[in-house]
This record gives sequence, structure tokens and C-alpha cells, in this order.
Amino acid sequence: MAFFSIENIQLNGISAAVPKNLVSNYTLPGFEKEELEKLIKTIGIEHRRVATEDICASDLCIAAAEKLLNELKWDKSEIEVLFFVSQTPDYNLPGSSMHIQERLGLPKSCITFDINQGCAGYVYGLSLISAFLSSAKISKGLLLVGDTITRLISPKDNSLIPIFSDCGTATAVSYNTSAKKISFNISTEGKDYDAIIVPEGGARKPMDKVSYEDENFGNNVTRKGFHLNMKGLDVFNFSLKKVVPNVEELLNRANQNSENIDFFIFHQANMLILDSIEKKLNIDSSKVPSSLKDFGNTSGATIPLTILTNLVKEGKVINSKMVLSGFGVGLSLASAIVDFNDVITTELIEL
Amino acid sequence: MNNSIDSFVDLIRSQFSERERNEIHEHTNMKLLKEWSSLQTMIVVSEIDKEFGVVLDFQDLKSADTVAQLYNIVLSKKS
Repeated sequence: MAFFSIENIQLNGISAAVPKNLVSNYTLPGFEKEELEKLIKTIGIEHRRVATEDICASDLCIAAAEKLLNELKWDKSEIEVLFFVSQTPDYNLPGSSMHIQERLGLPKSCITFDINQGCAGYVYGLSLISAFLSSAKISKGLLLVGDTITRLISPKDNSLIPIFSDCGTATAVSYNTSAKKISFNISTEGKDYDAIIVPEGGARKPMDKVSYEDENFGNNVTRKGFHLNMKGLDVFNFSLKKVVPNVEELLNRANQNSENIDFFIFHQANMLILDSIEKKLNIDSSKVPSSLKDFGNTSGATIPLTILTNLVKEGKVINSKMVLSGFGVGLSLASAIVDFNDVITTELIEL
Repeated sequence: MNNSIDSFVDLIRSQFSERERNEIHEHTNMKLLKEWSSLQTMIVVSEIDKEFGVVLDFQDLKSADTVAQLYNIVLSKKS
């Protein structure tokens, strides 16, 4: 695992936008009443936000960024780097970050990057923008993390529909020599690259007529070749086995322990996984907030969304030391220890 | 929790509804149970992990049909 610390990086603000289209899991078709109740209780998700066809992840992130920059009173001309972390870009090419630069009115001198990452994407993205700012001594940057992951899911896949939801977030980051260091512990298990995959539509397997044909996998799961496919048990196993050692190693190597940490913000995969991680780490549930009930699994956006919906007081994130930990597609795993100090927030935006 | 087969059967039973619970015994084929599903599989894997510290994988579940077969896999992985 790659353990490293980055100095002189300050988180200045966080915001998020979700589609206003709210979908209830209580009215999902194709389930018996008892079965549905058990499902909702187990995954902990009652409602989800599903983007309509006219909303992309970039739109949600831009809305979040505009409001945040306004709140921070940042001059857009000072932003020199932009990272957009998503698996649902506007186009296969060009990357969305270039167009986002233009749509946000950022200067041409602002370097932009697209990062293809999912559930671990917030921490991956934070490590990249932090490293970039710290090494280049760039003063201000924007990290946009979001997905309209529901777009990739078959409308006939009852194994994934109840879980996933859409959201876009913006995090403002700056170079500040008085900021406390951020420690990261990041790893990738590429052998499981196909545990979560959209198998067709890329250069490896371009779409053809067969891609549009339904394949029935039983148990109310029917997909086409270009839909998201998840080996649920493999991902579940990965989460149960790998997240806790990653966090424990991070704490050890950063000379911290769980008592020193005010909050643990895990990727909101589902409640079964979160409960298991919490018990294995032996941490009090009051330190492990969740946004699953009302927002479901919003892919890479879950960590900032969980902070925004649980840990805000008087317009700021509660000053605290947090462990942030994301895990998923790749399979990837990334955790960080971050000090939140006067981090500005905005109201949750609905598009 | 002790490691006896009876305790293991009780653990598996407790993950099912009362209606189906009574039908579960040592030699019950779990895959023929009405409630057996991918969600139920994860619930069972999670409970076994909590009680035995063993995380069963896809291959383990594929090779075990009955509660007793699953129990034997858990014991072999635990040792």
C-alpha cells in the first residue's frame, strides 16, 4: 500500500448538488413486500436521487462549484488547477474537465484533469490535487467529484437499482503553509478489475448489435452489454477484508489511533458493509455518520455528501480530525486523515 | 458463540424469517430455500464473518449446498 503525507494543503470549502428527482425504495416494482422491507433494512437506503436525462455529473458538480466559489468569495481567475473525478463524463472524449473549465469561467491558465475513479474517487482525487498544489506551490484548486451512476444501470436490474443514486460535489483546496499535513494510504487491486465493470462500449469491446440485446441473469436481473455489472459478493468480500486493515495501517503509520479521530467517513456502499467495518474497527457508531438513508450510494460523492448532511454547524464543517475512506471500482481503496478547520459549506443544492 | 454445528445451524436460522427458519436443519440445502438470494448470501457471509472471523468467497458458497457443508468450510478456513 502507498502511504504518504502531503504538507501545506488546506481544505477551504465543500458543497454538493443532487437531482431533485427523489425515488423511494418503498415503491420499487418487482419485489414482494416482505422482501422489500428486508432489503431496505439491510442496505439502509430508503430514498435515492436519480438524475433525469438532461442532467450530467458535470452539471451537478458545476452547480456545487458555483455556489461554493460564491460563498468563499474566491476570484475565479486565481484557480489554477481543476480535477474532475467521475465515471460518467459528458463524452468519451474530450474529457469533461476542459468544458467545465470554460463553463465555470475559469482562466485558460487553469490546468484540468479527468480522473476515471468511482467509490474511492474522492480520496484519490484529494491526494492528486493535494500533491499537485503542494509540489507546484499553486495557490488554489478545485476538486469536483460526482457521478450520474444511475445512467449506467439497467432499468431491469433489481440487484443494483435499489442501491445507486446521483450527486455532484465540489471541494475547494488551497496552498497554506500553516495547514496540518494530510496522510494517505492508497492501494489498487487490479486483478479484480472486472468486479465492477461496464463491459461494452469502450475500445476493448465496442458496441455492436449484440450490445443492445437483453441478457437475463435470473432473480429480476436483466442487463444489456453496456450496463453496469457488479459481482456483488466479490465487492462485499473486498470491503469486509481490506478496508479495516487499510485504515488501521493508516492510523499506525500516521501515529494516530481511533480515539484521536473525531469522525470516520466511509464510502456509503450499503449499511451491511458499514456496520461490519464499524464493528471490526471497534468504533462508536456516533463517530460514523451516514447519508445512506436519504441519498443511497452516490459513488465517489458519498464522502463529501455524508460530511455535508451530518457534520455542519453554522455553515461550516465541525472542526475535527476525520478519517475518510473510499473503496470500490478497480478494485481501489483509499483512506486519508484530514483536519477540518473552518471549512465553509453551502446548503445542499437540488437541480 | 461456540463452534458446534448446532450453534452454526442456529446462526444460519436466525438470518431467515420465522416462516422459513423452522425448515432449516444441518442437512438442509440452503439454495432451495425460498429466501435464498444474493442479498441473503451477503447477510449470511457478514454474520459468519462477525461470529467466526472468516470471510467466505464466491467459490466457498458455490461448493456448499447444505448448512453442514458450509460449516465445514468455515471450520477449515478458520484453522
